[in-house]
Amino acid sequence: MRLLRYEWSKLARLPALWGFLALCLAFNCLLIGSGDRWRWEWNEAAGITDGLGQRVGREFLDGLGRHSRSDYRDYLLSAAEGMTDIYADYDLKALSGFYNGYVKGSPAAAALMERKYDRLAERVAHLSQAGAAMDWYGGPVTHYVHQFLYGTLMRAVLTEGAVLGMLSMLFLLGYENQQRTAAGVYASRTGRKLCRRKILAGVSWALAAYLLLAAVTLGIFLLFWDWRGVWSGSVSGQFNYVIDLFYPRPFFTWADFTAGGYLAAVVGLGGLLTVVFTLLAAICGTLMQNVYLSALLLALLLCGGTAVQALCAQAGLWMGYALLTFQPVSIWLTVNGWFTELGLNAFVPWQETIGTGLGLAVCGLGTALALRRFGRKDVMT
Amino acid sequence: MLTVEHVTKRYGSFTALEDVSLQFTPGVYGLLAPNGAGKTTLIKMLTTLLFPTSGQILWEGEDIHALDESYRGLLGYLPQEFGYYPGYTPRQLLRYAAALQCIPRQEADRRIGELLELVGLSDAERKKMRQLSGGMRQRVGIAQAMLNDPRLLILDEPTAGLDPRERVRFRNLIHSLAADRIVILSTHIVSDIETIAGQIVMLRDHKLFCCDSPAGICGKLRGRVFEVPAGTALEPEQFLLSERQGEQGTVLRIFSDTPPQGAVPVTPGLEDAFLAIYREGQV
Repeated sequence: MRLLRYEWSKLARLPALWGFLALCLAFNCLLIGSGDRWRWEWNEAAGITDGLGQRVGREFLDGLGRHSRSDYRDYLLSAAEGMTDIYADYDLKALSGFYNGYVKGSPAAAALMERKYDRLAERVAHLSQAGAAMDWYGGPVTHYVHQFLYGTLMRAVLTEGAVLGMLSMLFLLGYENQQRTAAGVYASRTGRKLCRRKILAGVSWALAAYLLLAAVTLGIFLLFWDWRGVWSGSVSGQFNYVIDLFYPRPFFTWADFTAGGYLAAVVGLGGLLTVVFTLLAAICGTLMQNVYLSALLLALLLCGGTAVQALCAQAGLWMGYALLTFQPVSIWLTVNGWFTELGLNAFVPWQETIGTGLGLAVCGLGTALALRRFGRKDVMT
Repeated sequence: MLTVEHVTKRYGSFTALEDVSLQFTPGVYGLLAPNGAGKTTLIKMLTTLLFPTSGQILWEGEDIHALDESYRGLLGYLPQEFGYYPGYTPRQLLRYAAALQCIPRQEADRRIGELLELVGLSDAERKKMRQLSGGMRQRVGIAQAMLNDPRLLILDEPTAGLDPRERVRFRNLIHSLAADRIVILSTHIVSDIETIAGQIVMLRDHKLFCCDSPAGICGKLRGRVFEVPAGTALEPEQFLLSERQGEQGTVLRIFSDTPPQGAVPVTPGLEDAFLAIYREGQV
């Protein structure tokens, strides 16, 4: 624990990291400001529907009707009156046919895609049974605010957390060479095992930085956006939908998520993905023991993986593409649709969760192997 | 006892050290060789930073890499280039070194106080490392190496940056420490070890040249070191060791197997041996 504290203190003494953290928070505040165009509508809807519950039925409509008359109340009332169970007769054929058509050149990838949409059909039936489509969530502006919160704010928080995590890890692992203390440190009783502590310190620091960024950013967001009556609503309510580059569809999730549960799940998975990125940096840092070379290798790995994935898609190598959708960058890119079917970005249900789990396992194993190699390698100083 | 058994270290096709065998028992060992001869490579292997390409290094009969931390726990090491964290004070740096050596906090604090006193840095313990002079930093390095009261103390160029007074104090300190531990002191400054080393290890052409007492090494040169007046023409087999100012002007100190005409035989010193052994072009 003493050594862990010393490693944390090396990070804490680095003004650049605090500067970066402050810049991230300032940037996130600007982002929150940029979402102002939906704020009035969201808060107005939340105020009008406060106390009516989330499920739109007779009671909800009556309650809304009793509210003092205004143009916006009328607009909400007409939107609520027009709500139907969109899942009852939702035909997945068009959606599945669209994506199956893309990958049909690769039988294995096509089989995976087909199986995913078969599972989704079961979920659609369940969502219909649960009446999820009749949940109000945030009303007509839901899609924009949901995408703003997850596609913009949470993406920013996740990016910042991952970048901070990776930089901190590379800094810690290259620190002894940079300060020319490697010979003294690695010839001590702790020796090369110090790298384990460095990795532990780097991962915990990254997670703490991510959680701090998430807490402050979401805290400021919730100060200005009224979510009082929203938390218990289903994220699969019919006002919420998702559009990828190709196709719009409702927010089909693989489990029943309330707005609060979904936010907690995204923040939680984001934390784990931050750990995956940080461990990837740990592998590069342990192997290279040089901040700049490690950063170069890491950038090559992250960008290279994405480039190969794009090339696979261009070349019609869909099984290769399918495998590469499990890489951390691919998962990070789809943060605005996590726990949904994700179209061409997912080949199995819960792709982001499985991908993050696999990432943890692979990067954990990779880190262990890198440490093992470092333990048997000359320390060049 | 520390034993080096037929140790070779290669980097690709370059052989940094070849088939070195040595035995170290308590006492001071001076590792004397010019730069590039393999001193630091040998030291880094003794400190487990480098792995031998072949051969092994044993502590009390067990391979040091197998002993791992239990070996390093009895090792004190001052690297050739003592790195430090500029924002730490000497006390903070030594506390960190104590944590690396797994020394309990209270014991470490007591020991740090003693060592700062010993190396004469008690007054500077609150200054940042970046504010200290080179000599002061080197003294922090020496304190760091002695933090765990090591049974094996390895010092690579420890007197670099020390002023003459500090060097004398350092030599006395090493001498007092050597009674019950092995001290290996690597240097190319002959005066650092001439008076305190019981044994001198010399490397030449990346191989062990000799391991003998200073008297033994100097004895091999007896009758082959002479002084001649400045201006005397030297034969090809006569090698100029040094010049010095004598009572009758400048005299040349030369190494020769046969006494030159008019030369005065002198008692060879360790510096003569060093210069004779590492004649031009010989590393």
